[in-house]
Amino acid sequence: MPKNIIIDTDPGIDDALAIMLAAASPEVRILGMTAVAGNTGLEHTAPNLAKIADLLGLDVPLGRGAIRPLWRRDTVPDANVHGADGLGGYALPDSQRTLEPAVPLLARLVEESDQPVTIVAIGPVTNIALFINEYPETARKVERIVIMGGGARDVLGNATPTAEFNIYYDPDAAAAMFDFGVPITMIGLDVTHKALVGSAHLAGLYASGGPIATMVEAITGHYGEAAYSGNDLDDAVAQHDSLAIAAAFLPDIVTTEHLFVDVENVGRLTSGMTVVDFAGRTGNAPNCDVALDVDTERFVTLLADRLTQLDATLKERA
Amino acid sequence: MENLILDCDPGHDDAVAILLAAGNPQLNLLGITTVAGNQTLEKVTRNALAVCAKAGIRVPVAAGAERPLVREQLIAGEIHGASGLDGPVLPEPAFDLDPRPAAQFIVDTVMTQPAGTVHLVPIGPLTNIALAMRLEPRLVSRVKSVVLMGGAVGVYGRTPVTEFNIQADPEAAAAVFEAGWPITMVPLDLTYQALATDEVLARIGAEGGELGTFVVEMLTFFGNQYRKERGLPAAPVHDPCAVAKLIDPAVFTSRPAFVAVELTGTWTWGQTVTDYRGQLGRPHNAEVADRLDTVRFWDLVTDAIVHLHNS
Repeated sequence: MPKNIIIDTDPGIDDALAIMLAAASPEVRILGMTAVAGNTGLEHTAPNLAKIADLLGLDVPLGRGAIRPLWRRDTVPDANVHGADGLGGYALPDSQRTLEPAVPLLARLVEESDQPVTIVAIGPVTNIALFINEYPETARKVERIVIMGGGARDVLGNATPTAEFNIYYDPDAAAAMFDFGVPITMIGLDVTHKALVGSAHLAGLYASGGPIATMVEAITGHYGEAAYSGNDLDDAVAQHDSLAIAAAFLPDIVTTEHLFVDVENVGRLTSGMTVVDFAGRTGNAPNCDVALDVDTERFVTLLADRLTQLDATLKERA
Repeated sequence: MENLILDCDPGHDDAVAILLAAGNPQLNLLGITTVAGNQTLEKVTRNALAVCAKAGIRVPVAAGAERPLVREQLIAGEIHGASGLDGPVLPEPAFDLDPRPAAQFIVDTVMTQPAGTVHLVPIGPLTNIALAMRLEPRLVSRVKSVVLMGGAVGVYGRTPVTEFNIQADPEAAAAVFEAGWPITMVPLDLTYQALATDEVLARIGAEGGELGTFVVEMLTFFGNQYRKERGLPAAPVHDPCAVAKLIDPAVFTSRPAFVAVELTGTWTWGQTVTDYRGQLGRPHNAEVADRLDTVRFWDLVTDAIVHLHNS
């Protein structure tokens, strides 16, 4: 039986690939998707989500969520990474869909699901914090929250030296989520920096030539210029969000350690840092499965194969 | 020959740093200043005098700050014991303290030596250094370099994100990092490579005579505390790593970075935020030590102990 998931996202170039991966994977059933401000403003991420759902033929409820962080007014997206429109200027047809308010939608989807739900949050977790606050009883029924966010060791930050963007953008929301008590898997920047995917890996997809191929080639080309790459000699870039999706249905694609994590949300220099208590110095009980490594080859193969299959399916359908 | 003032809070690894600074013939130890840190000022000052007495070191010793600039005092009794130097029997002091406060001693010494000839090697909380900077602003341009043991980049000490010396007086540390003088930061990431293994201790014991035995007794206690309190396989002997840099610049490699001290976080106050990649848009202000030549390091330490024992 496929795992029921809800994707909370801020598309976002790597978000687009992550949604494609989920749509292409029989191991999951997407109950719905909710948009949040992050990689760019909600005025772009919400329409982008609808356009991507149209492209993929995903007939699921969509939600329009938080337009700003809970409290912060000083964190802003870096338009160099995803472009002002969030998809590096790639034009998809406008969607006619209506988006519902995201937080009641999250509650409804969790309540109506016939099995426990995993929420995969691949943007700032503002919607998740609002959901927890407004519907705590419903939120406790969530089986797990898998997030792309934070950093555990070596590479802690891309927004600042110690903070990863999703957590940096709304650290108060993230602090509330870590404190809530639902099991969390944290896919941090240090691990996603090993999830490098380049055109060499996607040659099969590009040869397929359908709508997924065209879009992925265009948007990863844009993303590559500003995103993290492991090696100047090739064009591989970190597919952060796809790794969180993969970890939601293939937990052993990452190795994790059960640790206490909290978010620094008042530091002048360190706001948005995920504080990971490796040695148990704080005395707090572990609340998070922190990814520390990834089976890169398995991940890259999975992403490439699934997107190629999806491309073939959509070509047929068209 | 490099001139230095060692500002310390002995402390087991501080004691080894004193021996290295006094026992290496390439270094000219102009004085030792003490600061509250690993233990109270009274205890660390007595310990500094005891180490000098044990090793026959005769340099000025001046006592400094009794508490941090702003925060409540932290001590590291769980690591260094009730005396600050538990383990061996400590001898009585062989001479009196310099009458000046440490900050004044630092100012007087640096200002009377030729410009650009004195290194400051702070291996405890940075209170004395910050006070000296404010007492004599010309100190900053007159000092040759500051090589400090403190901070952490990717491995951590008493909390998930901080190291003791910086957290014990973060405001002083922030002032030191913002001053604009050449700084080498020797963080826990580096000093965790300086493990006093059984082999290291056996060699010091075999070659260092009575002083070697004293060091082995010290570091055996220190190692037991680290095994018990931190789960490490042996004691990281942090402080002499900073001294060793002045003897042999190749004893560790380093990378330039902008380092700032977090003063306001719930979890992160006292953290050394280390920006290698220019994310904060600030010019580099420190070289951050990253890889230790452990063979070379322990050769230097052992040779210094042997030298002091023989002289």
